[in-house]
Amino acid sequence: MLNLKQRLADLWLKAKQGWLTETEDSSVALDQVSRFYQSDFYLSLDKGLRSAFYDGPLGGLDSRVIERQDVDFLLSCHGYWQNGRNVSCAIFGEKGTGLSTLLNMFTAKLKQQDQAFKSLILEKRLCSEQDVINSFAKLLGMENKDYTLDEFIILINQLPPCVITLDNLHFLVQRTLDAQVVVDTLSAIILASRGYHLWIVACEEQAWRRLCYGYQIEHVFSHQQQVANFSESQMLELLLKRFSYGGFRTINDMPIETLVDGKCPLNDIAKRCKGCIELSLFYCLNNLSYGITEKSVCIMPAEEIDVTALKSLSQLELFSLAEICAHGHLSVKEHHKIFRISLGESKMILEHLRVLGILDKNEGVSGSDAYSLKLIISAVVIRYLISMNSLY
Amino acid sequence: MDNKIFQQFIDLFSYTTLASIIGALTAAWLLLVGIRWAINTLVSYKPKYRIQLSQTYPVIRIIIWFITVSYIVIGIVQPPQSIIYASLGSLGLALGLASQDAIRNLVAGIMMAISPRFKIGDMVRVGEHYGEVISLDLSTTQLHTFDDNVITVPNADILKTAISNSNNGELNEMVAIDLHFPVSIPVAKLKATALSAAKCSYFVYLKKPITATVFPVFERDFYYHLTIKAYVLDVRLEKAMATDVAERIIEALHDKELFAGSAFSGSQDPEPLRIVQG
Repeated sequence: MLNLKQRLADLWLKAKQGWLTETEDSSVALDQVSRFYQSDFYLSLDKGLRSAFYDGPLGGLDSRVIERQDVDFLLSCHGYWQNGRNVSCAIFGEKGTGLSTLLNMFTAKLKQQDQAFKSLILEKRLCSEQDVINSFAKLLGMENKDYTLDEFIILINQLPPCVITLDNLHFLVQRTLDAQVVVDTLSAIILASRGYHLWIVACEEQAWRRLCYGYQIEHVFSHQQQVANFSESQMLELLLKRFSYGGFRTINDMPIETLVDGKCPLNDIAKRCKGCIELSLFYCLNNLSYGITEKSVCIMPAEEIDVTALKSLSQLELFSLAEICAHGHLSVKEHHKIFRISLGESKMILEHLRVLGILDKNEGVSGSDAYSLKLIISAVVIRYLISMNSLY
Repeated sequence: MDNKIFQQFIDLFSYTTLASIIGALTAAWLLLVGIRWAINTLVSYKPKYRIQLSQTYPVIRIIIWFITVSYIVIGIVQPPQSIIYASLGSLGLALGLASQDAIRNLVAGIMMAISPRFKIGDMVRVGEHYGEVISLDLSTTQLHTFDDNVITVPNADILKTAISNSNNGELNEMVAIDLHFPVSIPVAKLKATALSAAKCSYFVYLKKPITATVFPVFERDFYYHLTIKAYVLDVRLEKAMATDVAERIIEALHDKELFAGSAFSGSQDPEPLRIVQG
């Protein structure tokens, strides 16, 4: 009886140790993920290989926007407008999908067709009706003075007809009393000049959702398109292209013993990163070793990301992350206004999230620090916030 | 005759049979504990589906107990038909006489499990009590109120009473916030400010509409009764949202200096509400 009890206890201990070792070994901490480009291993890589991990587009070879249909959508809208239809369109997608690249590709096509266009990029949060008018007057190169909305609409309709692309629409999102006025002013400008000009706006998905739910901005745009993130096969293709661009081969010299259940680790990475290129590059780098032959690399099976740091967050911190997702970024002052807590508490919360490796701190337009979600883990964080009912 | 049946009944319970019955009951209980733990773990991983996951437990429990009791009677005890009829008759009579209320609550609990009027996680008002349903037992239902009290209500009472269910299985629910303001504030500005202030609250679920209604009321003096109706992200944040929205509206009206000459402005009108002695 005693033996049986002892054996059961041993078995339980063994099983428990097995589980613990497994969880400890097979996860990568969030802050480790976010320090991706500062790691000694990355800096010691071959120059050509390091370029494969560059987290931006590498020219035309691996454009961030693979799907031609997204450009085709914008071109078809342009076609409708040229045929005299009152068209205005909006594109939206997850952070890092490549909306700006898509707009650039579209304007490059317009240039080829000798079509007049203006590329506007919002760089700060707009606070009032006058702020919206002044910002757009400046962006459109008008005389620097305070116009009324009616005057501005008359002036904008006196400009030669052209395509106006507007990037970074997330700057319209704000939880202030004047948010409605700001959205209404921009909507009025777009509606009053729709048909005469072709307005094309680009917005991050969470910000777009907030603008639609809170202010029904979708009614201003006749055509809308969600730019999808990379699919599994596209991601795999992109990763292989990346390595060959650096002059490296990957799976050609992969030792068979590194493959788990006959699966290729790159396939697994393409599946696991859920369309986020930065995350896939991290997975590759974190599991990379040089191959047997020269100019060859070997990617080992990838490890899971440990989201324990997210699970330890308080409700206020979860809501803070949700607001940062919708706003694009928040300064300490903005956070303090939204959550009605002291500036010190706001700074403490944002700094805590930064230290955990979830947020980045950059200098904002007004000189104050702006905290934004780290691009590399944004998809993971957004999914977690949705599952926690903090984001919708 | 009765003695013979009683003897047959006693003979059915050997030590082995009793041990098997205890074993079956323990297994059922352990299974239920395991299921409860699994559901709670799932809820902590996916709070978004808290209500959907929690509502499965009462049904699972009834099914498991029904299967266990059936197995004990048919599979372990295996009584002859005469004993089943005699036992059921005696048991029914005894239980019926001794515990009318308990049986009534039990029957009500089974009826509520078959056609539920609310689920675990719903915010309901039963009589004077308002709170979140935290447990749906066979005989009682427990509510967790915002005062952190747990109210136990007999199921038979619930079947007799009108129930108001605020969220009906969803995580979000409509919250009505009533505020009173002096008539010196222009109605249009009051409504617009209230709507904008409500949208500023991070507890508000913007996917659903926010409305504001204002009507004048006379009680010693005229004032405006403002009702803001907005949806809260999670039923548990209902009071937090109501406070947050109310504070934001008052702050916004202060910032816009719309309280001038009213009770809220302080020194400007020393006697805004006069108490008339009868």
